[in-house]
Amino acid sequence: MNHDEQEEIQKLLRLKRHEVPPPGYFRDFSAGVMARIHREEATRPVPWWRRQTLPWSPSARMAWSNALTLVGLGVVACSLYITSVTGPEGNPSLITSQPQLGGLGLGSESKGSLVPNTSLLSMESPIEIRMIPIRATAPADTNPFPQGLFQLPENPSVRVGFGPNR
Amino acid sequence: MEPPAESAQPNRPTSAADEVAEVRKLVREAQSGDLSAYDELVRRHQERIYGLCYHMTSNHEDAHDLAQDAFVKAWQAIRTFKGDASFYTWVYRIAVNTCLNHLKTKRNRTLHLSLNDLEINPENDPELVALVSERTPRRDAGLSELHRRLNESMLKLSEEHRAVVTMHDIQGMPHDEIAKVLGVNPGTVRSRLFYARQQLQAWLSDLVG
Repeated sequence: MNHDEQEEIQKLLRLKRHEVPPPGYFRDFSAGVMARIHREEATRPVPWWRRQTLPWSPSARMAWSNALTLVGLGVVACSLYITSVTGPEGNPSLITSQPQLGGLGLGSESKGSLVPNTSLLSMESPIEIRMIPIRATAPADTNPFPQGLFQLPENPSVRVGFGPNR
Repeated sequence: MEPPAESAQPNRPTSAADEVAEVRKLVREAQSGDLSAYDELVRRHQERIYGLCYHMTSNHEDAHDLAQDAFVKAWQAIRTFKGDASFYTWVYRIAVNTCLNHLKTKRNRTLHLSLNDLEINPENDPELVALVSERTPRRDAGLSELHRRLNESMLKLSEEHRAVVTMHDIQGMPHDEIAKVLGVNPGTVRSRLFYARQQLQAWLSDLVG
């Protein structure tokens, strides 16, 4: 195929440039494209993450407010839990959150606390409670106690506790 | 007194540089979601995109749908447009791919022509009048017959060869730009063009003389 033949073919193909739509055909063409774009966007599912980035629509506003409320409630719940576990000074003891009753003269007063600082739940060795017999005395103007009413064994003891050896 | 064309479209830029700047501005606005800016971009490119689709399919209805498809796809992907090429090259590439996909999926379908829907008026082009009246051996073959033969021959070409003939010989696009659109070397464009013309010459030998 020589150059002239190529030129002839090109001239012939240029005839096709005159195959154009009738006048006014393109007047509504872009409107058709816009209508299709609107249709496609209305039917196409929008991903949830994209939906939330759209301009403030009522649904997005409600979703954001719900999410913020949930996050706020979560923060409050977490802070309450942490406070109850660690205490206000960060000491992981349940006892320190109890009211200080040392002023009443009850229990151990070594640290001004009602009970020992060791938690009851963490106690492993049983506590030995010794029962000391007391002598009952009655006033002279009353009848004496019946014999054998308060007879206790010598040096009685009861082992109580929460440890594994119980 | 201003010329009628300018007074009819006062917002249109007057120079090529203004046109490029204006298109870039419209693209930026469209990328930020401004549909009216995209509408203006469609208006500026619709005839060439439609022409590409028509010459690829030789069918008016298909060309209409494919051109609209291409613009809808371009809108959906406009945020990915980086501006490396011109917007025209980018949207043209989308249209070519849309046409090629359409032709491949409907390769076995009977293709039909719809020249009656189109206006064929080469009388305005003296060169073509001379071509038809002097160089066409079968003078009794009317213009419609000539176009029918041309379109039949175009449809015999493979999609890739038809694309380069459409872009270069019909729409006048340079080799380099065709290469950008198709994502191939300019040498590949030239060789496809040569082979396509060779085939067309064989099929239209009685018209070429």
